[in-house]
Amino acid sequence: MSESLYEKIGGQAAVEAAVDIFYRKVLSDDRISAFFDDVDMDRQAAKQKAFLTYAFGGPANYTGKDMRAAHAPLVKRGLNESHFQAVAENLQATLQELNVPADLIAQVMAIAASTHDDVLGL
Amino acid sequence: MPAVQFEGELYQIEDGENLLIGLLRHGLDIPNSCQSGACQTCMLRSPASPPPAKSQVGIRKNLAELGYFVSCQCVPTADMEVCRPDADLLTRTIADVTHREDLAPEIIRIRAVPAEKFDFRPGQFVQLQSPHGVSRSYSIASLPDDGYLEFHVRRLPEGQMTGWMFDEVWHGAKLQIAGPCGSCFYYQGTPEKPMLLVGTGTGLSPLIAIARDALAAGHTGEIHLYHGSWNESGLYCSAELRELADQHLNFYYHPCADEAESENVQKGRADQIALAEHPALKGWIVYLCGHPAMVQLTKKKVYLAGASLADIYADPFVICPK
Repeated sequence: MSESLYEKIGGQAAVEAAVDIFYRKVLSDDRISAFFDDVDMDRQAAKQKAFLTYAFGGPANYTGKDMRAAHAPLVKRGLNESHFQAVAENLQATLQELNVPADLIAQVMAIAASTHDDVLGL
Repeated sequence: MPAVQFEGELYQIEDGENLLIGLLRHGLDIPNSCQSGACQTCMLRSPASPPPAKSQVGIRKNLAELGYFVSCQCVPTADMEVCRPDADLLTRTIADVTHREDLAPEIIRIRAVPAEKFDFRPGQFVQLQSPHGVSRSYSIASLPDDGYLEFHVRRLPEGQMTGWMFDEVWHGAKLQIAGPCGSCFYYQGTPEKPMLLVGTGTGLSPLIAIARDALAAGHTGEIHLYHGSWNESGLYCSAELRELADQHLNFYYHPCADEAESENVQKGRADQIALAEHPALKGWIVYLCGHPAMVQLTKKKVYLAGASLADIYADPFVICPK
């Protein structure tokens, strides 16, 4: 059996390393940081860990419905394509910083992109 | 097949089955979400024996020490006894008030001795219940070796709980206590790490306990305690803290007041002064207690200054609406 994407990236340890970098990038990004002003940081980090586990091809109990419901209030506050792209850029930069090989980054970005419609409520 | 004791009942868990799925299968209501160990919604506690290591990955180290684990990552290999994270709140203990004194205008110190053995970590909080059924959380400012529980109480305008405490809780009064709970306490595993403690008002109470606990455990890293108040009269316990700083070379006490007048009090907000003096916090352990807006904002700032989320302990002192 060939190694899964999740195993190739480094599994749970990679998720732990990535979430710290990713969340810091997101919070420091003026284009999107305002969306995170009122959230509980521990819970938000946990959600991002669940998302990264999913994006890394790991064992996540993800449903598009959850993603849609979670982002619906943000869509009302103006969440749009540009914000989605900003998060995607931060994700890509995080993976590059962790020296993840380009072909694996492409796979992660493809999974992340698949959430596009649910996140933006389309 | 391992058996798991939970809320007074015994449940059989299938071999290889994780605890969350097993308990859900028995019809129990266990909050859960990602089922992959990330979200920690399904956290439970095994107070008597350590849970499987895999179920504690990602749990704050000091909570892991108390037996907290995520049930979706726990495949029991032996019998276990588990409870919900807040199970301690269900048992009430009576404590006799042995001491009361004024610490500052509108702030009192109350010491009470529990009638039975009461395990806690310095800095955790308990719920106190008044005879009128009002219940509020107060941080423990003392250490187990002190032999009493100490609370610092600020009188709130029209506060139901604090009104009762100021008017009726004197030497000999009885307090109803539930708990302890909370993760705001010292972790012994990293004695060399620098620590930053920032508190406003009676947010100082858990920080005194945490600093004393760390020093008693032989913490070698620097410990910086910033206490903030609007004016100097709110900087209570300053004599004790200066004495502690004299006794321990690695403990630094930084009193801060918006309206500072004395030379040895810094003028400004405690959180802002702390961050200005320590702009790079990678590798630091941070404790934030007091005003909720200060705690939330400072938590973000210390995180962006490099502290890991797992090393930031925040305890917002929420004021209950009347």
